[in-house]
Amino acid sequence: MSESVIEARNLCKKYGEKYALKDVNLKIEKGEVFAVMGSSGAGKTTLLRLLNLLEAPTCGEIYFFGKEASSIRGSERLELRRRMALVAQGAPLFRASVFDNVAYGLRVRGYSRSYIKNKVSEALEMVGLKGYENRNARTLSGGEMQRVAFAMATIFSPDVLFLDEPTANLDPIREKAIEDIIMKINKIGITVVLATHKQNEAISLADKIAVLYNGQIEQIGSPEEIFYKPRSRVVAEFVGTENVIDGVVEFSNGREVIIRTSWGFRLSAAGPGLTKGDLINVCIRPEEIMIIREDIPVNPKHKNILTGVIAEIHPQGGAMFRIKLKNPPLIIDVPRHVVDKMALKEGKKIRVSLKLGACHLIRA
Amino acid sequence: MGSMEFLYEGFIKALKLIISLDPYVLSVTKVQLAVSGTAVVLGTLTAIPLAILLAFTKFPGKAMSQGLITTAMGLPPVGVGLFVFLLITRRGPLGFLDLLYTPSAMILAQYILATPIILGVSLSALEEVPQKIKDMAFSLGGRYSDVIWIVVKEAKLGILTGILAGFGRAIAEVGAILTVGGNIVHIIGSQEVSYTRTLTTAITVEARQGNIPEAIAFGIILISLAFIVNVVLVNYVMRFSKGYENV
Amino acid sequence: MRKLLLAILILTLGCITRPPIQSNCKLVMATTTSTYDSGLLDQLNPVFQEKYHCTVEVIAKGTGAALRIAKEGNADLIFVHSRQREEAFVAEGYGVNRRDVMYNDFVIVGPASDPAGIKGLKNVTEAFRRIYEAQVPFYSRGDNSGTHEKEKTIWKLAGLEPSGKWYYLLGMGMGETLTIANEKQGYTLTDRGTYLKWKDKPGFTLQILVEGPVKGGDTRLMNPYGIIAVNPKVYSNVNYEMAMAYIAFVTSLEGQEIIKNYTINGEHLFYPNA
Repeated sequence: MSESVIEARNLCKKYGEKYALKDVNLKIEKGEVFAVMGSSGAGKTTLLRLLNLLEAPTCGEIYFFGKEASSIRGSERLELRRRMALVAQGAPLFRASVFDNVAYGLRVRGYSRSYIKNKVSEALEMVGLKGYENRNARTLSGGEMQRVAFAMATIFSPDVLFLDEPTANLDPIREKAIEDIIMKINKIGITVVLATHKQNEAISLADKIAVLYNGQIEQIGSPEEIFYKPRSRVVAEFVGTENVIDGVVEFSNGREVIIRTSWGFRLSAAGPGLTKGDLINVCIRPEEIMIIREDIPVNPKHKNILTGVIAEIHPQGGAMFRIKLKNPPLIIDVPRHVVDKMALKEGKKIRVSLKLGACHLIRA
Repeated sequence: MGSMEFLYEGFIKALKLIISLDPYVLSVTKVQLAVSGTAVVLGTLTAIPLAILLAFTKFPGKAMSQGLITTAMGLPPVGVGLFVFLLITRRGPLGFLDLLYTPSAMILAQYILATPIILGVSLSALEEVPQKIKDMAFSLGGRYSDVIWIVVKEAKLGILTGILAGFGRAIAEVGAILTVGGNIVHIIGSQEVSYTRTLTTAITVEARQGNIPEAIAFGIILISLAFIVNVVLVNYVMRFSKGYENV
Repeated sequence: MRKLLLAILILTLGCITRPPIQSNCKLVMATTTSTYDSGLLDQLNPVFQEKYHCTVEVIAKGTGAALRIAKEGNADLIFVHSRQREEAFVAEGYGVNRRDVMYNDFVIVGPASDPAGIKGLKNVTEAFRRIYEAQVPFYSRGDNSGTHEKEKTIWKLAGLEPSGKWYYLLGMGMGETLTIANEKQGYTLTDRGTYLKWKDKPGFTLQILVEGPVKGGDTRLMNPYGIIAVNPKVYSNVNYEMAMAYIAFVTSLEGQEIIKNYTINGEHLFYPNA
């Protein structure tokens, strides 16, 4: 078991009468990338600010390296703060040169000029901005500013780096570059706490994900758990499980169940622990739905065969197409070659199969 | 003499006075710069610490104190002149200092006029610095004093604007220094040398006495000073003041 | 509130029912601050206006500036006190019909302590010499006014050239100069009329130390006032007719009587000599 860097217990934060955060419990392990996901207003920024000691919680405790924050005072608190850094959304920079911005963390720590000079060029090299020292920080592009902010926050090798929406307002190419830098930063041993609303960013970076909804943590788990086994409808919808169907267990043998859905069809799925009469949500990710070719006869491998008419078909990013069926209103993602080969178009009737593993059941 | 010739002649004589560094014109300019400059330096030394204090503390009545500052920014010079006059007149509470009709009295009056402007502009510049900048400094390991310092640095163009605006106010006003300065020149040797006569009060006096070339010369110098202040303002301040639109 | 409304109503009705007397007739008089500050014109002008239905506009400056204004054609009439320059003004062709109107005198005022020791002197140049030698603060109008001219003349008669930090040139009117001299407890040369108006102001302590001819002092402190119409041949747009009427009025028995009877706190300010 690795060491827990930060632990929050029953944390809450009130602004006026409204809770921005409530009942937050989490543990962040050393060396991991911990993503806090949620739509805007969910409380991500507030959580990061509490953990960075920029604001005091209304209730609950935060433990840093096993010690409770409110018991840490004076110079010890400064020492603690200096083991962390936060890059706020939009990467605010000081009105100064890139060098002065990056050097800031070391200057307040009282390092020598020559040491700072070496460290700044190292830090700039790491974020791919070698030679930018004398540029005016405020005239850089959004992506460059983000990188400078990274260099600022990592130059003093903090134990924890908080990143608030680091790729907001960046185009996909710059987004990828920023993700690469985050991975680099994580590889040199810095624990990263990343607030984001982007699924792909969380998938590609996070070791662990906490989903925030209305100031409360809905679920904490690995990306697989969050994306494929969402524990609630809220999480499922948030992480892009487009098909969430209400249903009731009609039959159970202890491992598999048969469900009658509100969309009118029956499904069989793996459902250990469920008994007849349980109300559940069936979550099916759009890319998990398989279209069966017309020329292939149905075989026992194909579970849960449904037929429907294509209502809409649109290209998605990454050579994928998104299909919306009419009755049942399933959403299906298929690769381009399948669309071409099967000549899929609006109005065409197709057969689909929902594999047992694709149907993830959560209690309603 | 036609009116154009009259103006032309006045203008040429004025230029000659300036180019030849006429001792009288020079001494009046010196007094103006010394009085307004000292007032602004003292005003800056008062206003900046006060602005920092106000920007970084919360207390009941803060909104009202800001209202007071805004009001004080528009104090009528004549009113301030009267106030200072009553304060330092022989029978006034500070009469024993014998300050009336001295450069010190003029500095005091301009200090009262310039300080609220420097304070008001600096304060809003300091308060305009976004929370994110303060958080950044704090989060990067800064102490509270480091945070204050970074905010001052962020606001430095606004503060400079305030100082220049204060100086612009000081060199442009005539009502206060005429009342408390007395517009006095000495004769040293056979040369008139300004004691409490400034460009603005000199223009008033010369124009009243019909000494058009002198009045024009002082006008040219005064406008040049105001122009320099504004060139500094526009070229330096505006060029380097990239706002917070990306923050 | 009611009274205010009533006052406004009366003023408004007054304007409607009684239009200002011949508003198109206007006489511009350039005069000196000492004449203006004395309050004499407030006695003379209403009577003239009533008689001739012509508004008198007064521009009060130093004698030098008043003459200049007239030379530039911005006045119809000048009423000043600098005999030498008045005569030059006429000789240069700017003015016609110069007439003596009245006189008063200049006095030297100073602090009661009188550090220069001039009190009671009958010789004005001696008084100036003592001020010069004591280097006590002396406040000069410094505005090329009639009073300033007179002061310069006396320095010249005394054979002295004032210079140094005790000698203050103000560039201001007589009243302002008295205020400043009083505040700093220094000496100044003033016309008697302005002094009389100033001497009862709160906190004013300067005293007459050297008298002028009106009270038996040095005749060189005589201060004669003259009036001149601006020459219509130089500026055809001047109101020459009314200027002449005004001159006739102040030199008439009626005008001279007003001047003679004008007092402040029982003291006569001017002595008619037309």
